[in-house]
Amino acid sequence: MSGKRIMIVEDEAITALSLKMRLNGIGFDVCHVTGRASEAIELARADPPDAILMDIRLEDEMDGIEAARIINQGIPVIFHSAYADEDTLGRAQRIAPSTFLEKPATDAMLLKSFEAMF
Amino acid sequence: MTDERGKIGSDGRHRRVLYLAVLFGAAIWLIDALLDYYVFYTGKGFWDILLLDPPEHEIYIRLVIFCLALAYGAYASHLLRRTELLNRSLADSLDQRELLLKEIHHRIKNNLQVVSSLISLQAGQAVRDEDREGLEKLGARVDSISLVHKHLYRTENLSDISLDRYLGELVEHLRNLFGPSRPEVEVLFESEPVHSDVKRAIPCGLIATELVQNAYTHAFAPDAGGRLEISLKANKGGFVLSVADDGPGLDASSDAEQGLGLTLIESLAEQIGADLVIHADNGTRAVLSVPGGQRT
Repeated sequence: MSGKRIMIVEDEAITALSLKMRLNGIGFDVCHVTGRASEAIELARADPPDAILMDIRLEDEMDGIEAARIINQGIPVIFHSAYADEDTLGRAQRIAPSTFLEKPATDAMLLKSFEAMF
Repeated sequence: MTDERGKIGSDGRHRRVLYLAVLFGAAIWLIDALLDYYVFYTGKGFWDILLLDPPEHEIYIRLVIFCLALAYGAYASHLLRRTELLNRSLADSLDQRELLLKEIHHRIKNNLQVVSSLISLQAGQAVRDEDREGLEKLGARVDSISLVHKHLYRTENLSDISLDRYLGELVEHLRNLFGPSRPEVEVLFESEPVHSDVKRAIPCGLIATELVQNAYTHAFAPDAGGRLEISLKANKGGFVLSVADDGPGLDASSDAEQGLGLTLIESLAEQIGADLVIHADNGTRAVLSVPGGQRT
């Protein structure tokens, strides 16, 4: 598990920073942090991470689910969002491999989700 | 809140009133013709009396009654139409208000999460263990309020939440937060369906957070196992929240942070008019009896 490279896609800078610090703290290597879906797609293509921690509602023309669908390289995606309505969950479930983690997630929940993905 | 089918159904009522008025006028016309046929003009044919050749004064009487019925129907229909439009406008306003309230609760929750993240970042920078633990406890307090807003924007009436679901999620969150460092502590949560307004839910969440944190931090000897039970039960006119552990027991003077926790618990209990009793015998059992709330 340790050393796995994670890309964080989160448009709230402080939340992204906190997630980066917490993931580093539990042994992951955060390779990319971005708040934009389009940039996440470019980064994932240029330097694919081992997994993506993806917010769903982003300040961009597309949301996190659409970005994950476009990236689509078999990279595990953990959707990390406060939006857990049926429609959102249904769309997220169509991305494979993926899982959904509702905000706020503790370190234990993050670790458990990543363990389930690898 | 608003029922689309209900709106469509009620929209047709003003038309139905108009049709009924026409029907009523026609029925009076028919009844009058029947009376004339059987009583006053027995020698004439029914169709002549009804339509083809009725006496002039009968036409006058029937037309006056028909027009009066039609005028009343048109007036009633107009009033109903106005009421329907007003109801639809009110329903739209209510929908917009609900959307706005949901958005506000969602933003409050997101902002509280940013605050929680800031505290988490600061905790990560803390050198001393007690500073880090203090900040983690502060983060948990913020999370407990954030969770109330999350439950609020998912409810129908945006003012009451299911307290049992909220506390269940809060206990799970606290277990995820403090459990990894105390895996030997078993946490049990049992509840009955209880609804509560925000005024009681937030203090109850904060009190539960303090009690669970205190238990994790102070109730059990280091590396020793233990059992932590949280229960929510409805009673007459309110509900009872209890948090019990089987550790050696609280010592209120043991450190400043624990003292702050108890001060917070007592102040919040007083704020919602709750009765707080702490039993320290074979472990610690804090029982909070809260007036109000409604069993579902």
